[in-house]
Amino acid sequence: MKRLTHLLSALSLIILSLNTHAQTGFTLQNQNLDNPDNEPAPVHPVPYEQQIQWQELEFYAFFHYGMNTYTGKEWGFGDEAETIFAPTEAPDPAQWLKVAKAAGMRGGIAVVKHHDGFCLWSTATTTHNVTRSGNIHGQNTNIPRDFARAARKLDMKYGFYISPWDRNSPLYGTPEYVSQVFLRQCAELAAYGTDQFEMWFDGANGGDGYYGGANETRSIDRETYYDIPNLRDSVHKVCPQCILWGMGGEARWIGNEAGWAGETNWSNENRGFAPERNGMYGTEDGWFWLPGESDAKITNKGWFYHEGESALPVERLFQMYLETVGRNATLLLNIPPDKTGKIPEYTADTLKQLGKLLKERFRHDLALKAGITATGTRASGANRDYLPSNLNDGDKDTYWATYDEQTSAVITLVWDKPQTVRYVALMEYIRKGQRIRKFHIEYSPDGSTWLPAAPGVECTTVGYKRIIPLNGSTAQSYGEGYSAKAIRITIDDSKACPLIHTISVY
Amino acid sequence: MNIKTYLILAALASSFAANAQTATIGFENTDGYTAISIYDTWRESPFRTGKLKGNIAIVDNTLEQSAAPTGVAANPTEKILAFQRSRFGSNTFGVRIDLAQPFELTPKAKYVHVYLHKPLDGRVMLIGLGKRTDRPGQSPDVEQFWQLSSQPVAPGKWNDAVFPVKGAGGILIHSLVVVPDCESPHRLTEDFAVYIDEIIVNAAPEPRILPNNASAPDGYVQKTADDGFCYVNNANRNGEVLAADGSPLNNYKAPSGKPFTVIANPANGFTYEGIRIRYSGNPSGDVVFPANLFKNNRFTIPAEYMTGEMEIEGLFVELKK
Repeated sequence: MKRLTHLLSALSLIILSLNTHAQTGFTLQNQNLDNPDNEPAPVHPVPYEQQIQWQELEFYAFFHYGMNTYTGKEWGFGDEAETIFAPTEAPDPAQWLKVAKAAGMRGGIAVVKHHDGFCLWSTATTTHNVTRSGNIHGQNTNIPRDFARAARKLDMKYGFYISPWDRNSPLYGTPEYVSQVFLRQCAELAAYGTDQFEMWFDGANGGDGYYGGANETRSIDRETYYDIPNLRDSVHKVCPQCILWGMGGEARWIGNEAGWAGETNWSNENRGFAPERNGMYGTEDGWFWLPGESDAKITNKGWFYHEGESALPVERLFQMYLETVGRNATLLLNIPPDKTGKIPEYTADTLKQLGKLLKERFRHDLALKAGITATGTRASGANRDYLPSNLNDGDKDTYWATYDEQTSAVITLVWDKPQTVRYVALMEYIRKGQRIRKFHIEYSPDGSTWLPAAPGVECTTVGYKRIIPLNGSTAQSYGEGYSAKAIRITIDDSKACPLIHTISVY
Repeated sequence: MNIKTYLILAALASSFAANAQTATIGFENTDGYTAISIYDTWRESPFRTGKLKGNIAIVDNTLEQSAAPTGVAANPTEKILAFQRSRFGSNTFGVRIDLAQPFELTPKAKYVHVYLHKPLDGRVMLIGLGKRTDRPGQSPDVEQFWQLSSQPVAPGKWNDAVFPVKGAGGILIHSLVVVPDCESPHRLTEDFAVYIDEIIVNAAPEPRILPNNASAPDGYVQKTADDGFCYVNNANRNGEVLAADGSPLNNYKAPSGKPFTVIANPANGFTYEGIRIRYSGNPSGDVVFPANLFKNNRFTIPAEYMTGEMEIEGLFVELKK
């Protein structure tokens, strides 16, 4: 009789010996879990640790650089000669990341193989790579190596974009492409650093292409072709902190490339095969924690560099920030290097201004010096309390909560003297799930008269972070501000008792 | 009150033998499986940390008498698997059954059938654990699929929950995890018992137990919204699809059952091959309208396609120079 070997994991599973437990009836066992800290029960789904760390990055850069930089295309056909890739200077990923850091970004994702299949490192899987470039700058290029190195030096997170779709490879569309090319390329990239934070898998798949000279259309079943569960298993063995985005199934595409998430945006989703159906909004009763990432462009002509391009105005970028990071998503802002292999000055200048703007507008958190009270506060436990003072203690691991049956509450911030206020930011304690469905904000100039704030804004979900412009406009949010001696936040509805770890007022 | 009757599809039972299928795991004996245990995907589950132990057992089938008035029992077997759905587990907490004979996950769908009897409404899910055959060092416990049942499972009676499963090929599924309550348990005040039986993998998508009214169950049929509108979103790369008046399709309220004109607006350097419409609640019901139906980048979606919650994807491709 064949013996099966069972891998006993550290999951503390209970294995029953069936011969001795056959019963005539089934009795429910009385099970209780000690709760000395009076902690609220989680509302599932909840994020795992890597997803929380990923979301805390909030704002990071995308770098589309490659063959298309030199052809002017957005999607290369795959038949481009390697010699076309000829940077006029040595590409400088360190410069890319410094520019991003000046904007307040905390990391970057470098495109190392786009749909055209040209690899920006000396891969063993194909000759269609930098070693055959048109000049010495190209031949010496190794973007994954240099990008990882620069990121570590700058204390920034890093990751790579690798296109599953490969219009150059003659094997694309066959199982051999996945095992001999794609998975091997992912493995090579994983070897550039076990501390990668994200691997990005574009959802554009299948279509016409060069395919080694076949020049035809090939389509694949995106639900099965790339064997994502086992790709994830392989990558996680080498890069345990890495979030596999998009088709990788650990963070979702926000559903547009315009830099906005829905005002209602649940991190819950029915994880299936990317792209999920409600990218901008999530699904309140989705079974899996799948937070949204918004990829958007800083320049106006495409993902790659194009002659004559210009950067978007800084206020427009700030609007994107409010509509993504400020709506429970992360913002992945694309910054294309030009033919020199560097970020052009006009883009770098814009990003510097954006960094200054973000610093200035969010420099002084007025909530830190406010008195805070709240209704329905949960009773403390042995080692943890849920007091309103947790909302402005600067500690993301403490939180305010109501008692179990209370799904609405009022939080009031009061200052000794009126303050000029423009933004209110709320952050749920998402370790125990996303809960808030609806809230509204009021302000008081004198401490007793209350006026509604944020006209026209759908104050629905919060999640990791929600930033509300009090004048109701994300496009022109700064304005003159409001003179407020007090601000009142009313949680109108929540899936379970609301948990908020931080309230900020700017 | 409508009386529902249940039919055991004996014809299907015989057709199972004709199709490739695994042995039925019926719990009358240990045929088909080697072990049963508790499983939770939630990494901090008390069932993973050891704070709580699960409760599962093989018991006599005292539920066979819950058959409908036809006199035919939905599940006449003698033994069934009982499982305590703990309110302390997550929404992916279930019972793990290690298979005596693994089956291959292929690009062509197979159907895992599970008899389920549970007291409460809620989604049910099947998780497959396994490994690639060409990776000898890989654990056989890697989660390979998470599939909700193709139809809702009605509480208080035997159902045949069907789970279509597929994968890249070259993957063997060694264990199945039946999640009988794929809902957040935070409102549960007590645990409840769930019963499982007659697990089989075959090529038949139809459930073995059907209500006698063959209409599609609620919740899985594309419905128009009660207010007479359908809600249209767009999910696009390299362009956008707009309403005829230029409005973005962000939860756009369009009259259901009426023609609706859209504009395809590709990004710089791109053109379009058409649009794809997806319907929430009907994952296999995508509709594609090719570009040759457009005139001046405009296309009017026929009335019969304007229903429920819709997502429009522009099929944008690069412009050939």
